[in-house]
Amino acid sequence: MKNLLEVTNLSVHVKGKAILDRVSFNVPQGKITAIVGGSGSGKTSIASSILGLLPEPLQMTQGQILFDNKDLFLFNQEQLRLIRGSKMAMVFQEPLWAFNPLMTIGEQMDEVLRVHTSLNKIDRRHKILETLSKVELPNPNEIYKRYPHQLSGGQRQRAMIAQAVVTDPKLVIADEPTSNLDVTLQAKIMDLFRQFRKEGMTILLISHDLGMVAHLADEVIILHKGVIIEQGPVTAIMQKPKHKYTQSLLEAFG
Amino acid sequence: MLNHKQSQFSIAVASFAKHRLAMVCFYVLVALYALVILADFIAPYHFDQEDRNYSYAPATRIEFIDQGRLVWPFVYGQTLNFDVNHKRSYVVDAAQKYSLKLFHQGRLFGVENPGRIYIWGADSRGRDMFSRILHGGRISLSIGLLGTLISFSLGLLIGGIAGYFGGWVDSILMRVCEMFMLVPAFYLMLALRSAVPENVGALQVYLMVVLILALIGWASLARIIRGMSLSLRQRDYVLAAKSMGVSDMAIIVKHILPHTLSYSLVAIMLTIPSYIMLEAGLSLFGLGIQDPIPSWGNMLSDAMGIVQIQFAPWIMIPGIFIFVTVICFNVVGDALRDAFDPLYK
Repeated sequence: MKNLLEVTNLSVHVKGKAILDRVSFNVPQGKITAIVGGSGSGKTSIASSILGLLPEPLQMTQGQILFDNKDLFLFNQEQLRLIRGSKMAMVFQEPLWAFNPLMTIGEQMDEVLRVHTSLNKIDRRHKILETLSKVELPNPNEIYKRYPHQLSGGQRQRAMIAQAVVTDPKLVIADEPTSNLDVTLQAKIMDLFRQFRKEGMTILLISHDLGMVAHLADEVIILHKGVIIEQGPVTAIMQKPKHKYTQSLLEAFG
Repeated sequence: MLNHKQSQFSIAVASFAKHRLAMVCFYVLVALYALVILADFIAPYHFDQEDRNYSYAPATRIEFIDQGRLVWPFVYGQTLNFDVNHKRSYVVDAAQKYSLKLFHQGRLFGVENPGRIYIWGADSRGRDMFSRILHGGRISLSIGLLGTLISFSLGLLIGGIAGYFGGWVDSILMRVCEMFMLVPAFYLMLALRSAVPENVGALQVYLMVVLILALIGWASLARIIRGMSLSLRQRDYVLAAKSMGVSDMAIIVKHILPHTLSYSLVAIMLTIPSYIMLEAGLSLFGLGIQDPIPSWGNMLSDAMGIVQIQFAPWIMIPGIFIFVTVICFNVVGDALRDAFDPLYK
């Protein structure tokens, strides 16, 4: 099986303190891989490192990230920028904050397409409406014109996912995509991710919710205090957790 | 139910509309701008049309009654006499009657030659004060706007860049800002003016004054915008835009600067009057717009002598216009600040 993303010995430090300590894992093509860990385990730092967007005091001290067999560290900032949003995209936890409140949903999706494609205005609009209906948003024409605060929480999360996949990226990194939604909405969003997997998209899911991961993911990586303590196929880990921390996580979900 | 259609901007506009005095001032400003835009039509004379026989002529009285009968308004001619002390005095010459004509030679009103109508008196060279004030307003009112426009574009952009990138970019840009803020505005203005040759055309002088004003004001704005953008860049939607590959400049222009709008709008309204004052100051000293082209500032330089003020107090009218304009802008700016401040509601 081909790996879309290969992370080797990734270490991230802040002022000498390790946030991630020699983290190595692979994300196989066309699968849903989940990184599970509690708060402060370094989940989000992994996502930021892959995107090349580590916030100021955090520093990558060693490691290698191969994306589609290309070493991301050999790219300059401009090349990285053109990969972000087109080849890999991110879904954020709280879509109300991840959308600019002064721009309509349509305008913000249009901005992404303008950066990464040479489509004209009509084709871009067509593509956006198509993507909005793909994430099962009712009445895409209406959503296109809406401001983020005019949508419900579930609609916003779908719009956020639509913005991430509008350029048909190979890899979607979803950072706690369902934590702020109620259970029925969570199930619907999970269906959406399954649909994307069926279409060949690779998804890196970041979550603290082992229950959801058990239902959705193919591969699981358990992260604790910046170290990977266990990884493997989801069934194996669920049935035979080797590490004490994984066991306690599983017990927490009954 | 909360009306989602109502933006912060429309709420602020509604709250501004409730401010009675500010609305009055706003309409005064609209009227002033309309007057100076239509100056060619409303003013009875070209700003440089002089008549030395009418030096410091007082306001012309418009007569309605001729030989006991109500007639179409007209004006008498005036002749200039000198008394024993060589003091000027104008005597009404009842033999000369010039009836007032509306839409006269493409202007709103006027009288036949050689009659003259000075509704606010004449200046030292017999030029109509009213016409010159309207034409001067074109300079004074537009210089404030243009200068503010340029200095705000500069301030927003530089402040946005400094705050967004931080680090050494921020340090260098902020040191440059401080260099400009270090020198008191008026001295900086004089220094910049002296750096430009004095014998240039009217348009060049105008653009130069605009540029000087812009260079004075941008730094303080840039510092404030830098602070705001420093905090705005931490927002999730900026990170989201980055993760979508949106370029840095596009993020600054579309995702950061629009969020400073409520502040900048108020700052703009409070900067325009200060620029109008600075232009007036520069022109008053004869360093800005040069006679014969009028600006409210250089018209006031006529009123710097006590004798002229005593003899022809109407030459101070441009000062009233500056005063009213500045007050109106300040009141509108203050009301806007209150309207945008959520704590005031």
